[in-house]
Formats: sequence, structure tokens, C-alpha cells
Amino acid sequence: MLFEIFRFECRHQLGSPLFIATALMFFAFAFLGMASEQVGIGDNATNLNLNAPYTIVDTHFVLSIVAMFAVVAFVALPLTRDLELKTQETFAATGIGRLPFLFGRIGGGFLFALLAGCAAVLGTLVATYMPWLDQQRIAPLDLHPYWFSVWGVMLPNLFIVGSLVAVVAALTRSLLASYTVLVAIIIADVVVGANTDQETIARMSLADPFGRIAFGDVTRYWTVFDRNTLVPEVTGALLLNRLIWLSVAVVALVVAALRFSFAPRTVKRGRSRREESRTLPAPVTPTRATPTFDGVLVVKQFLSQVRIDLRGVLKSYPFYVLLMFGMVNVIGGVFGAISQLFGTPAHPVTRIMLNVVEGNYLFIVFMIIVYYTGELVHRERESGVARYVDAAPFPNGVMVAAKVAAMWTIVTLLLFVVMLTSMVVQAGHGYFHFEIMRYVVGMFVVHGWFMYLFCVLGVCVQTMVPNKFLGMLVLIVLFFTVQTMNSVGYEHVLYQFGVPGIPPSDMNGWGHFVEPMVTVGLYWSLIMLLVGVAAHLLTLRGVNDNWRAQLTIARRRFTMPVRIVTGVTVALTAALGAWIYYNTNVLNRYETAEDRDVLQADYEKRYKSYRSLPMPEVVALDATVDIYPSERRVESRGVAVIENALAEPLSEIDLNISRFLTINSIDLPNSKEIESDRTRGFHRFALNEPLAPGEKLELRWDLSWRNPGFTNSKSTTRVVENGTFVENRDIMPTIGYDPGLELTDNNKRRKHALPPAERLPKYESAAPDDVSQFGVHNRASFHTVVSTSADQIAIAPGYLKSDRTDGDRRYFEYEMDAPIWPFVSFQSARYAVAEDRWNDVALQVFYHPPHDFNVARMLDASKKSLDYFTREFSPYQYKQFRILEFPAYETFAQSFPNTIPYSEGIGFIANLTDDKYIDYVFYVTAHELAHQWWGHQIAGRRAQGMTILVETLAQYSALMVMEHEYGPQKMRRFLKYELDSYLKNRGGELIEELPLRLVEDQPYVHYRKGSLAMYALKDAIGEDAVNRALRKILDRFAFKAAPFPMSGDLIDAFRAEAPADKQAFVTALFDRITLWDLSVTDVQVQPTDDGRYRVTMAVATKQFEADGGGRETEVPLDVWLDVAVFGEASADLGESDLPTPLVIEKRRFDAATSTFEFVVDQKPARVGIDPYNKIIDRNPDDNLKRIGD
Amino acid sequence: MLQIEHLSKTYANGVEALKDVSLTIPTGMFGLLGPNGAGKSTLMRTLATLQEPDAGRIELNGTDARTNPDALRRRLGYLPQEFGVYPRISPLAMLNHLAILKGIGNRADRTALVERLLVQTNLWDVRRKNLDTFSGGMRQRFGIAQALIGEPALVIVDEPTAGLDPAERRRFHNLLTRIGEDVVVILSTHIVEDVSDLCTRMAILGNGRILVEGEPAALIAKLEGRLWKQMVAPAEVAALRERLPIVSTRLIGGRAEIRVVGAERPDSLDPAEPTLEDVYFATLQQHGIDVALE
Repeated sequence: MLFEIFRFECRHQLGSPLFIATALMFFAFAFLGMASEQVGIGDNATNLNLNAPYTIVDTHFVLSIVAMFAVVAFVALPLTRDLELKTQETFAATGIGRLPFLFGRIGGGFLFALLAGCAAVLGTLVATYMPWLDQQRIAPLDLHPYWFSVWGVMLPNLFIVGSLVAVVAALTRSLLASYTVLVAIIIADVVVGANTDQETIARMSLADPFGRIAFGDVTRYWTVFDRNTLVPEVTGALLLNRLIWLSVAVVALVVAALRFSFAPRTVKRGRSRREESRTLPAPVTPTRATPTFDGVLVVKQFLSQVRIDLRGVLKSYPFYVLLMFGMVNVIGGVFGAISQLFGTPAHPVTRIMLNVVEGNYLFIVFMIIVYYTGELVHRERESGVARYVDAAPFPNGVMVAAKVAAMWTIVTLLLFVVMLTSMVVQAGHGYFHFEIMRYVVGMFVVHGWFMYLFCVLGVCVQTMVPNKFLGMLVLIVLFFTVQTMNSVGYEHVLYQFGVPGIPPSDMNGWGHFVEPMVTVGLYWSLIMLLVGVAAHLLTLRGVNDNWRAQLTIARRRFTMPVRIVTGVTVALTAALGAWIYYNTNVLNRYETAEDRDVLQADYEKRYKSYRSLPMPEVVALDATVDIYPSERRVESRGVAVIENALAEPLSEIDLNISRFLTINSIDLPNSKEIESDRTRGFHRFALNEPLAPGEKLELRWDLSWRNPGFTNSKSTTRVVENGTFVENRDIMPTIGYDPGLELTDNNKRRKHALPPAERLPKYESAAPDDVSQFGVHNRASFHTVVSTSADQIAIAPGYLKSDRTDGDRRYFEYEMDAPIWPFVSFQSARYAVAEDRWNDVALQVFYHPPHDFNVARMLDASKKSLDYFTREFSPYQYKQFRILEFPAYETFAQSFPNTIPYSEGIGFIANLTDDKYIDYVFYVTAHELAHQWWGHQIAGRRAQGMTILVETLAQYSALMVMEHEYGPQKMRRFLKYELDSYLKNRGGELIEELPLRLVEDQPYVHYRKGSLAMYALKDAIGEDAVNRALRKILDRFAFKAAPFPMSGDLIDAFRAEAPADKQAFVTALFDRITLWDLSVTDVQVQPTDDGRYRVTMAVATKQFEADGGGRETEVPLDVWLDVAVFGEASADLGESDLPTPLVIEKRRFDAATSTFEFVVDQKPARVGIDPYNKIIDRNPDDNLKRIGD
Repeated sequence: MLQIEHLSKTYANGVEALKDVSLTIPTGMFGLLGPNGAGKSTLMRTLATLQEPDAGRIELNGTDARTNPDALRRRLGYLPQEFGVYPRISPLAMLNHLAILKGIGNRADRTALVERLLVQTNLWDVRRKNLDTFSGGMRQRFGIAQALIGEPALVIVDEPTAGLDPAERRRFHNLLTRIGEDVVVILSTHIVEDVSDLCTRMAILGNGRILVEGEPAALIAKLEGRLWKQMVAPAEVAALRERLPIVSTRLIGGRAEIRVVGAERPDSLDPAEPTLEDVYFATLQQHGIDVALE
């Protein structure tokens, strides 16, 4: 009996359009996620294979969440269907058992939901064979991850959520209730995900019904090699999660089995049908209704058809399912988008919301368009309405136009809903600055334009093909063709269907990106109009038996008005196309991504041999920089005094001049230009007489950076209307071959027959007269006059000497009173300025007026940092310190002398109202300010280990200011983030991990591990000793010429301060890759006779050394660690904050296990070894143990 | 007046659906009879501007329908043999929409028209129910209602009474007859009785050709004295066919009545009173079109 029902269900589903459509959609979605760079589903970092098992499994976790919407359709629909069709009495009457009926239906539903899920698995599999993918990143086919995705991901997830939905469906018999439950589950899951960080992951991984967090937990510290090869085992958090949720599912089914009955639920009809009070109208008097045909009628026909079509979509439930899914995706996406450094949230500014909508919602709109254009256009034909409506007297265009208008209405509605959702989300995050105009333009123009055009394409394509699935296929093929063309170097906007996007920035608004968007958008709009005309001509009305007849009809429809419209449109398209071509190919150089790679590769191939040539250095720089923000033009003139700082005479000087610059003149006295490569920006000059050691030359330049019209690909974001940020290499000649211009991606290097990217010189090979990490020996004096438009402020390093306005130009003169590294920035924007003082140092923050949230915090951090650094290290070398906001086109802060450009994407919009989060604004400010010492006072010698003198010390300095501001208790959260980040990122290492002493360009080592090592060192030998060592380094090297310090100099200074029993620890931290594994294995508490508590705890302590590839060997232990007992935490403490310990002691450990005994006054709650995570513990979660666990 | 001249249509698969069809159809009911596959539906669709003929002319009251299909559509009411409805829409909303498409832009006129049609087709009580839940007969009535919108000068109805119960059918016949007083109504059917009841003129279509055209009474009259019948056992029919040009056989009370056309009375057959059905079968037989008799 059970089987019969099951079979009935299967037969019912198998041919159903719902199943076919769902399976196709899943296939397409999964395929897109794998094969297209626009749609990313799972984690696919660039160092992973595209078909890495980890990526595949992760993708299917996400897809399994999407598949839940199908589960409702397949599991809940059959259960509610009977009620709708009133067949349940029939079933009840046929004597079919209650349970066979229930489980037959559910079983059939599961099976088909799983089949649809498998279509997704197939999609990811097929996608890996697509020819446009980087074949280097495709590993040979391994079926294990796919198989795991079916049985380990899809099957349990469909079962778990399917059961929950089934119980609701069986008990309520309401599809809406089932969907509501599903959406609730997904929202809950999103919230769980949003509240998951490295501290809470263990708990949260159990609360996630889909198991993706548990999967993340299990694979957290997987290396690239692991991710490329391993399929997870169902153990640990993943196993526990699956067991918990499978039990919940079984319970749900049992409940369904117990409570389900055939007896129809007493159905409450919400609204009783509004009965027409009018009865039969008066006897038939043949009132005449004579047709009249005029322009007004055509409009009425159009509107009526639009109404009918809209009704068709708005009454279909897949539309709402997709809409709900999109909204959930946006709400969830916001959590990720606003989570910034250390998990601290940002204010959900409109820019971020628009970004989330672009990434998490537009693909839903896209799918709705593909699906519903097919539905709408073929609606009349499929339903049989066409058989009489086609003979109705309306112009062809009415039908095509009505379908387009209906789709536009739908898209507008979708965008409007998500716009409201975005604002609600903003309000939910306590952000009430609603920028309505920005939203409207962002949603309906920047995001919407292409969607609207795609509707036209969709409707027209569907109009011209006989079958909607064929139409969908054509659309998808078109999409991929465009994609493929792009990836093989056919990138021109004239044939790449699309509307250029606008990168987001609050400061610069839409900026100069409006022009290409509008121009190219109009161009494609006109082309879509032509496609519309084609659709009008080829619209099938009635029966189509051969194309010849169709052409005859088309010719007949090509009437004079149509011809005129076509002619005018063609002419306008051609004119606009020519205008675009003039901009992209005449005013600018049209270049593809590949062209740029070739230029870079050629630069290296042709000129790398000149790298070893000795070159003079700049010792004085005087620049006149005129910024014209509205024209996006920079004029740069000036003189650089260059000196031969070497012991030998020089006969050649090479210059890099950015290829985007127009060279008005370059004047190098006594020389002849022997090679001038403007395409690659490399110029060689032979000196008529060699430049003797110590001799100087004056290099004069006059260069222009013009950005006329617009470019084909994204134009520069460096020179913009509001928020220009250029560096000297952008607008001035620099001396010698620049390795910074080489291709860095080793995949691309291989493709262009270049050896792997050059690494830093070996530590041992460094010579005393080597250059500093900035590539030069000398600091230079600096003077500049920067001008900009009168409404903006222009800033460069140095002190403001004069500020005058002359007409519509404003001139600023800056001068440095001491030589600086010759790297400077020039910025210009409409700034608000916040000013403050610290002793005799003037503090300024230049910010975009609406971004005033944390300006006071930055000033405060600056003062506290200056306090600490001047007290503990050395005096601040400048009289000014300033922070300057720049547009979010890039996200970093960078320290120039007394000047710090700071992206609007970090810090300025951080939401620090909840003090449970790490105040990273304070931290970043302190870090950048510390670079005024570490970087500008001393810089490392260019060799392995150099970055610890700059980055690691800046980390340490910031950490100390933080500790003094927030107290040592608060450091745990910060250190745990650093530890987690270090452990995660060492898994992503491509070449080899190196100890701090030898670190190359490895941020996870010099930042993350650097913080941990410095804090551990400070904890071991004391803050005073560390700072004493740093002062000695500053004494020895600050502002001095070569030899520049090496990492060994710093480590030796630490050693000099460390007592004998901590020397091994210093070695472990700086000279080796050391990992510890600490845990509390047991804890016992006994009350003593005098009302106190005796705590006995056992701990396990191990120490490992890892090699560059991550292989670990246990080594003898020698380390000082905290051992502590804690009482119950008060409720106001943050998640990861510990209360003040009842007792804490530092002990030396040299054995694998040890036992301690403490007697404490208050009731103990937890004990811990290294509870503040000061040590690099590869499993930091078991350092604390709750008593009684 | 509808004029059809030399209309031809050959499908891609080689089937010649219409071969040089010429007809002049005056105001009034015109019946079009023909077996399945005769080309009736092709002719109907072509007249309704839904299919392009290979050659020929169609003129309604002097307007060329091929070069100006919209002109014909403006005067056309069309009920196809098979048709569908949008899901989840009521006859009220659908008729309203169709009325707009057919040129009734004035809201008051439209409301009155739609209400009148709903009453005429007996759909008033279900005007707010969803069309896709309708039974075959109800749906057919909706089809009739939509064909009557907008004072058509040409009404084409293809098998209109299929699925209607006898009362509904009679009601519909009355409706058609009333309309047929001043417009061209083409009734395509294979129910001969409908034609004889309703039509002032008729044509029989077979293998894509007009086999015969005229007033039903005149056509029947041509068979007077040339039609013979006999009651036989059903088993004998096959043997008799060897000898006699039987045009039709029908069962009456378990016995088979055969009918034969001929100027001379065949032995042992009785004279019979001709009907339109006899005209139909005789015409088909005369043109060698085999109609399954058993």
C-alpha cells in the first residue's frame, strides 16, 4: 500500500513541469556558480583548484539551502494538494491506511527533491569541463566529493528540513505555513551564521540545521593541499551536528505520524466571497457596443494586456518563493558585508546595501526574468488562448510591448521590495540616514538598467522561438557566449551586451562612471529597440508552418512607420557606437586584460636586465602638482635632484614614467635618450659624461595625466571628481627598473613563459650597504605646491606653508623640514576637517562630512598613541599628524610621513556603539601612527625578515596602546582573532611558511603571528624590557644611512633583555615556527574546612616545531605560562571576556603533563592554562575548562 | 459578403490542405461540411487570419484580408474548435479584456456588453469563478460569448456545439440564427443536422476542394428519385457492397439500412426520401473520398 502511494506520487511528479523546471534551474544555478566568475557560490579562493573537493562540498552546502525551496514544493505540496483538490475524502474512503498515505507522499516528495538536488550536483560536475576556465586550476576528475555532496550534504539536509516542513504541512495542510516555516529556518540559520566567529563556532556549528558551519569548523585549519585533495570525514562537530538534526527530523516525522489524520481540518475561509448584490441584469436589450479603433484604444489594449500578464505572475507562487529567497539572501548578506576587521560591524551605509543587493539579489532577478519572460510570452500559446486572441484586432507591437512592460513592472517591483528591505535592515542596525535618491538611482538605474534591457531581450527572444524552453536555452547560451567572449579577450562594450557598472564610493558618489554607463546603456537600449522591432516583425500570430510564410508576413509588417523607426534607430545606434568607439579606442587605448598582462610581461622580459644597473637616488624633490578633479586631470611638473650615492661612476639612468602619462618634457642634463618605450613606460638615458660618486644632477619633468572621455574597461579610480589619491609613481618619473610592475600571479607568469616571481634576497646574502626595504638608501627633502579646484582641499606630506585661493583654484604649499623616504601621496577632496592638539603636535582628520561617526575616536587614538610612543620609544619627528579619507575603491590605510590616507571602507563607518566589539578604528589608527616610527624612523634592510621591523613592531605598538586603553582583560578577544587568522592563513600558504626572522611578504606572519609573538614576548620579559630593546634599536638606526637594521638586530636586542631561562622561548617565537598545544585535562574542587575551595587541575602541554610545508615535530617543552582559576562571570561581560581571575600564576613548564593545586576564597567556576591565549596554541578552544563539565 | 478566390495551401509535409478554393458567401448562415482532414480547419484558420495561404484572395465586404488582416480582424468573431483560457481568471475579467482587445474602449459600453454576453451564454452566476475550473459545456459557452464581442461582420464558428447539452445547443442555435440575419456566419461542423436546421447556404469540402456548394434544399432536391434504400442484416453489408455503390449504412433497431444513389432503381431496393446527410455521403462518394461506413 505504501509502495502504491509512493508510485502514484512518483508518477505524478516525474512528468510535472515543476520537477523539470526545478531540476533545470538547479542545474543552471550550480553550473553558473562553478563556471562563471560573476556568480560565486561556495568558497573558491584563487589558490584553490576550481574543482577542489573543499569548494565542491562547500558549494553544495549552499545549494542544499537553495534546494529547500524545492523540498517544500515536492514534500509539502503533495500533502496540501489533496485539500485543494478535495480528494482526501476519496483517499479516506478507499481504505488506504493513514500512515502509508502519509509516508508514501513524503517519500515520493523526498525522492524528487533529492533528484532535483542531484541535478545541481550534476551542474557543478559538468561546469568543470567548460573550456573558458583556467585549465591549470582544474584537477583530474575525482568523484568522491560529488558523491559526498549527494549523500553527505544533499540527502541529510533535504531529509532534515523536509521532515520539518512535512510535519507542518501534514498538520496544517497549508502551503503558506510550510513556506513560512522554511523561511523562518533559513532566517534563523542566517542569524546563527552571522553570530558565528572563531569563539562561538563550536556552539553555533550545532545550531545550524544545514551543517555548513560545522563543515567550516571541521575544515577551518585545512591547508591548500588539504582543500584541494580531501573530502571531510563525518566526525567531530559535523557528526554531532548531523546526529542532532537527524534526530530532530525523526522526531518531526513521528509527530507527523501521530497527529496526521484524513479528517479535513476545519477550514476557515479568511474572506468569504464577496457576493455580488446585483442579480441578473435587466433583460437583454441589445445595447450596441460598437468597436472604435484609434490610438487611445491601442493604449487601452496594451494596459489591459499588461494587467492580465502581471496578474499571471503575481498570482503564481514560485514568484513569491524566489522573492522571499532573494530577500533572505539580502538580509543574510548584510551581516557578512558589514562585518569588518575582527568581526566589528560597519554602519550599513547605502553603498554597502547596494553592494549586497548586487551580489546577493540581482541573480535572483536575472533568474526571474529568464523564467517569467518564457512564461509570459508563451502563455497565450500554451494555454490555448492564442487560438482566438491572435485573431483579435490589436497591433502586433501591443503584445510584445505589454510583455516587456509587465516584466519591467515585475523587475521594478522586485527592486522596490529589496530597496524597502534594505532600509528596514538599515533601521534594524540603528542606521537612519536614508539616502532615498541614491537608493533610487542605485536600484533602478545602476542595477536596474541592465535588468530592464535583459527583459526586452528575454521577451523578444521568446517571441521569436516556438518553445519557451528553447527560448530559455537561447538566453542562457547568449549569456555564456558573452561570458566566454569576455574571458578570451573580446571585451569591447560595443559587442559585450551590458551596462557598465559603477564601483561604490560614498565620497565620490557615482562620479565619472555615469558617462560610460549612460552612453553604453543608451547604445544597448537602442539595440534592444531594434531587437524589439525584429520581434514585432517575427511575432508568430496564429499557426506557423514554415518560415517562408513567416517571412512573407514579416515583409508585410515592415510598413513605412516601422521602416522609419528602424532607420532612425539604426542611425542613432551607429552614431552612438561611433561615439563610444571614439572614446574607447581613439581618445583612449582599448586594451583587454590579456593586453595588460602582455605589457607587464614584456616590461619584465625587455628591461629586467637593467635591474642590476647601479642607479642614482633622489635626494631632493620639488613638485608642482595641479589637480583638476572635474576633468580628472593632473599636471605634474618639478625637479628632482638625483645623486650618485654609490662608489662607482654611473653612465646610464633609467626612468619609469607611467604609461598613462603624457610626456610634455623630460630634461636630464648632459644625456641622450637611448630608448624610449612609452607603451611600457620605460626610458633609458645615456650620460654624456659619467656621473661621479657624490655628484648630482637635476631631473626636470613636465607630465600630464589626462583622462579624456571614457575607457572600455573600468577607468582609473585614482583621479576622480571627489577623492583623488595619487602617489609619486603615478605622476612623476621614478628611477630604475621597477619590479613592482611585474606580473605577480604565478599562473599568469607561467602562461607568459616567465619564471616564478622573484622572492626577497636571502637573509644570509644581505650586505651592509644594501638598500632599505623601500629600495633606496637615501631620504630626500620635499617641497610641493599642490593646487586643486577652489571647493576642495589638497594635501601632500609636509607642513602647510601657504594656502591661497586664486579664482577657481586653490593652492597649497607643503614643505618637510627633514628628509623623508621619497614616497609621497597627493590627495584632493571636499573635506570636513576635525582638529585637535597633542602637546605641540597639530592633529587633523580630513573626512567626508557624512562620515563623522569615528572621527573623535581617531583623534583620541592619535593622542593616546603619541603619548605612549613618545614616552616609550622616541620623540615624534613631526609637528603635525593627519588622517585623510579616500574613496572605498580600495580598502587600506597607509602611512606617509605625517600623513595617513585611510579608506572610507574601513574605520570611518565602523559601528562602535556596542563596546563588545574590538575597537579597530583605535587599533588601525595606532598601527598607522606607529609607522611614523617603524618605517619612517627606521626601515629594514631589503632582505628576508625586513617586515618585522616595520609591520610587526607597528602591530606591537598598537597592541600596547590598546592594552593601556582597554585593559589586559580585553586583549584576549583580539589575540584570539590574531591566532585564528594566523592558523587559518598558514593553511593557505603557497610556497613555504617562514619564521619571523626570515619572513618574506607574508602578512599572516608579520601581522598576525607578529602580534602573538610580541605579546607573548612582552608577557614573558615585561613591557619595559621590550621597550628598552626597541629604544636601543631606534638609537642605533633611526634616521641613519646604511647599514639598515635586519630582523636579527631586533631579535638580538630582545635577547639582550631576556633572562637566561627565557632565551629558548625567544628562539621559539622568532627563529622557529613553533606551535603549542595546551589543554586542561581534569579539574576537581573540594571545599576546605575553613569554607574555602581547593582546586586541583591537570594540564597537558606540548610544543611542536613545524617546517615550511606544515609538517610538525614534537620538541622538548620549555615555556612560561599562566595558570588561573576564575569565578562566575558577571552578565555584563562580553562573550569572550574573562572575569578577573581568583588566582593567576605564571609557571614554567617543561613536562607533557602537570598537576596544580590552588586554594581560593570564592566559588570557582572555570580553570585555564594560558587562558588569555598569549601562546600560539594550535587548538585554543580547550585552554579553559568549566568545573563540573 | 465574403469572397474567397483560388485559395491554396500546401503544408511543409506535402499535404495539400486547400486546393484552389473559391467561394462567395453572402450574409446569413453558411454551413461548411466535410470529413476530418478535408481542410475545414485550415480554411477556418485562414479566414480568421491565423494562417497564411500560399495563394488566393480573401475579401470581406471589399477589403483584402491578406494585405490588411487587421481590417478583417476588426469585423471578426471567431470560435476555434479547440481553445484554452488563462489559469486563475474569471469569465468577467477575461471577457472584459477581450472586449478591449476587440475595440470596445468605452468602459460603460464594455460593461454592458460583457454583462449581456454573460447572460446570453448563461454564465452570469459563475462570472467570478475561475475559468479553468469550468466544465466543457461552460467553457464552450464562454467561447461563444467571446466570439460575439464587437458587432462582427463575419462570425466563424468551428464545431461550436460540441460538449453542449441539447437545451444549450438549441439556445445557441437561436443565438446564431439571430446574428445571421445581417452578418456572414460560417458554421463548420460535421453534424449534418445542424446545417440543415440552420443554414441558408452550404458547401461540402473534401480533400481540400469545394465539392459542392448551394442551398441545402436545392442540393437535396437533386437527389429526388435517385436514392434507394434497403434493410438488410448487418452481416450482409460487405457482400452487398461488392455489387452496389452503397453511399451510406446506418443501423436501425439492430438492422442495417443501406442507401444507394443511381438513376435506375437497383433490384429489390425501395425509393428513399433524400436528406442532407444523403447529399453529403453521395457527394463524398462521387469524388472518391472514402468515408468509413462501419
